[in-house]
Amino acid sequence: MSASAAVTANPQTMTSPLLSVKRLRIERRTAEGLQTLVSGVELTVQPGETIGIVGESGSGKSITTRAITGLLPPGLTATGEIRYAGRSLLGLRERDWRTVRGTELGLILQDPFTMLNPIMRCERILGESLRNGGTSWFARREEAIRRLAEVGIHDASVIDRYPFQLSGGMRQRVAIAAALARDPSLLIADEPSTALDVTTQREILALLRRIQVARGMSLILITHDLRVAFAMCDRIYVMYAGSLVEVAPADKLDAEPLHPYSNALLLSEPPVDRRVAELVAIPGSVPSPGEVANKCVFVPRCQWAQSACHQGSPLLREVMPGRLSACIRVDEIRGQMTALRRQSAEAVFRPADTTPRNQILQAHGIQKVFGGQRHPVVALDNVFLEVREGESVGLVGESGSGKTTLSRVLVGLEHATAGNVTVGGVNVADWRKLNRKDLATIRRTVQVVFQDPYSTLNPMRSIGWTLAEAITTHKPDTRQVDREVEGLLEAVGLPTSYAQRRPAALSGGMRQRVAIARALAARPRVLICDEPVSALDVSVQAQILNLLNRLRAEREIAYLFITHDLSIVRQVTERIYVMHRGRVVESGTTDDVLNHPQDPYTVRLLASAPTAERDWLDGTR
Amino acid sequence: MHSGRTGPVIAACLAVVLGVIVLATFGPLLAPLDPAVQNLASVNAPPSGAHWLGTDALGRDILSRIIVGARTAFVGAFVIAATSFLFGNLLGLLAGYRGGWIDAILMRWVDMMWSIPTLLVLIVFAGIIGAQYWPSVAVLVVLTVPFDLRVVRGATLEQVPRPYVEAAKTLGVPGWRIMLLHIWPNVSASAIANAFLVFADALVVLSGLSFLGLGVPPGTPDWGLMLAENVPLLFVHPVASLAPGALIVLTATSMNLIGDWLQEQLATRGER
Repeated sequence: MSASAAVTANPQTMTSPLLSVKRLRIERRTAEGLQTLVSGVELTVQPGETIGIVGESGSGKSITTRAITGLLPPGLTATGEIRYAGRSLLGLRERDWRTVRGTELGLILQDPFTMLNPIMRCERILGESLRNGGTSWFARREEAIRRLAEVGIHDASVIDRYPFQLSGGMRQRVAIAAALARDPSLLIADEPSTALDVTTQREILALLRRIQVARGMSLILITHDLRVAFAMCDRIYVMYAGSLVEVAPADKLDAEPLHPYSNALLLSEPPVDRRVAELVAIPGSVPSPGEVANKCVFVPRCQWAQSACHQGSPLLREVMPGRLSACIRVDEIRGQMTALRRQSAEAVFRPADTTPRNQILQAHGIQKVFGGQRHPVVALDNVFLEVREGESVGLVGESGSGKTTLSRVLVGLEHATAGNVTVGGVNVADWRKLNRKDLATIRRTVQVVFQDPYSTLNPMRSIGWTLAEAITTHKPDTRQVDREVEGLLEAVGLPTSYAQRRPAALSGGMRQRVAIARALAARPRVLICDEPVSALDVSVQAQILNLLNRLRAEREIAYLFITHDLSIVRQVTERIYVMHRGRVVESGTTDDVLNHPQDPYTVRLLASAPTAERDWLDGTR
Repeated sequence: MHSGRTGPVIAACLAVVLGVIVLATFGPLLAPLDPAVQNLASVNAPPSGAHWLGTDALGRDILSRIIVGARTAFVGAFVIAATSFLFGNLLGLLAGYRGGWIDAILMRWVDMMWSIPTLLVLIVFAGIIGAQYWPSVAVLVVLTVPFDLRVVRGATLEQVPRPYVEAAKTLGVPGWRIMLLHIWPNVSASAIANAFLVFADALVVLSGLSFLGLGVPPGTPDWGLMLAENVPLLFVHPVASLAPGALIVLTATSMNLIGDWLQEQLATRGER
């Protein structure tokens, strides 16, 4: 009860809150008994307030909002107290929910591609929500057009289009319009911009904030990105492994986090404006709530953990006015956490020597056209790119820019319509006409690390099998394959016992390490990394980026690093190419391009990269 | 890890199939009487101590004929299921992985085989070379391979764009290794389950052929043939035709259920 008492002491709770959640606990019924997913969550939302729930995957942030909206999947039960405007929502019947959802609580989900019914035109999607007896078809249509204008769609013809005819950003706008159709007083947005490109993300977030202010509506924003939360929210709830670890006003949290997890999360976010010597990674990966029951949830990864931290799960308590933390040692370690942040900010990156070396990978005049003669889609248009020995080159662009297609052309997974590729001295005009020796040279020169860690490994094969195959493919006469497998696992920081395991037993970050190890088996001179960290949690991202930087120094490998994230490109590359709609619009050293962008697209891309400042969202439509 | 509800049913199905396998292997040794010996003194006899399931119109012991008849029922279906499993999987992997003209040709063959009614082909075939068991089995193999091929091709197409396959390609792993060692384990659940369905289907078709007199030669102890021979006795001596009929249904159903169960078991292998 001490935690809830602390919440009441919060000065912002003087008026009666719109939404209050107390002692929320969500459990799953399994064959082995009850499994706790979320416990002890306490939160309040005032009228007109924006709160953020920040956490990595498995933190329980999404499931918490599902409990608030009564949309828990079957088999999950919520206990505790959820009150909305004085009314208890927990245990509401499905019928009663209909008077709450939409009219009181609006909901926007992450994926705009599956959230809208694909066979309904926008008019019907909005009309479904606008329908409230008596209004004519014509009046509803007019109203729908007006609602679309509110979310920034001024083209009235959109109303007659199907979702598949709209871009991701447009769909998210339509989804927002639908969620707002019944004028809810609280909008819950679950990762509303995660599936979108950075430029679109900024527009959608700015739109949400504008509407929230204009309507005086309350907003709960669920996100994994602290910078987005800082820019959008008044107060932030940080969740980890099913528990709240810190609650604080956004600007205070940004200035000084009061929990080791929030501190580490802030540190592991790569900054976009400068290159750091080494990212501060949190060791290990996010545990399941069951693994950290009856102790502080962050104990396994906390550098300040003591025996006291293992005894009982600590409750949130008020550390300073308006600031709650679940860390029992926070008063002792505040100074050390601050020192760690300062140290990381002051550490300067020392650039490697940049003497020009031999070129090992080159794409020249690459053109790639998909589709038939009638509807050609130009994916790549006269693209030039080169990678020299030992250097790290970034390839930046949004989805659809052609960056992944280019990487596939470079390794022969796609065949270019025109132009040629030179790999390790072998000129490839046609992959099908290569002889065995040249092909082997190419495979030894370039290897790829793919984006999705969950399907990059054969699910039916053990890690050891996968690595052994990679080794014997390149050196069929390898004697001690097991020893080599162990060496590879050690190189990527995994225990050698993992050779026996199947991919399913590994976390996303570990799988990506195995994928890197597999690529290293060929001893390549260039590693193409296609969004290698975009599917990983922030705290794990930093581990993988540090690993890649270390491997590069140890093995003198060159990287072609494909990403949409400018802050990542800043941390790992010296030179970049910016791609937009199949063309390279700008190239140069990373510092030059990111500090003094020339092309208008690069300028826009840079402005869209999330920063913690509130004015990040200003100046958009 | 599987729910206990399906346990006893699957156990019973396995028992039935194992029983049929034992009968098919050791039938002649297990039969109490010679299935071919006629005893015109006691025809159409009801079940008794000497003849547990009675005798047929020629006085032959029905139980012994059922036991010995398991062989033709099982072996033909097994050969069909196993052979088309082998060819269907190899060709399906090839069609799905390589695509292009190989795929086009194989799929036209599949379309063709699917558009022809099986029984019609067999009857025409029997009309040309005469009713024989093994040639019919061979024709059935040709007609059945497309079933396996289609299933494996579809599952393969789903795997080919996955990064683990592309990673193997960029590593330079040879195509045959990618197909057999990478893709096949991931499509095997559907393929194996399908083989059981094919087996059940082949068992019914072969019995049907015998029933029509197009399968095994007259006089052979065979479930389908017994069903046909003893139909006239349906009202005087129902066990004579119902017992072999029931065994056909029981074996086919058991195989189907085992196939479904195996698919569920195998499909979750990669998730553990």
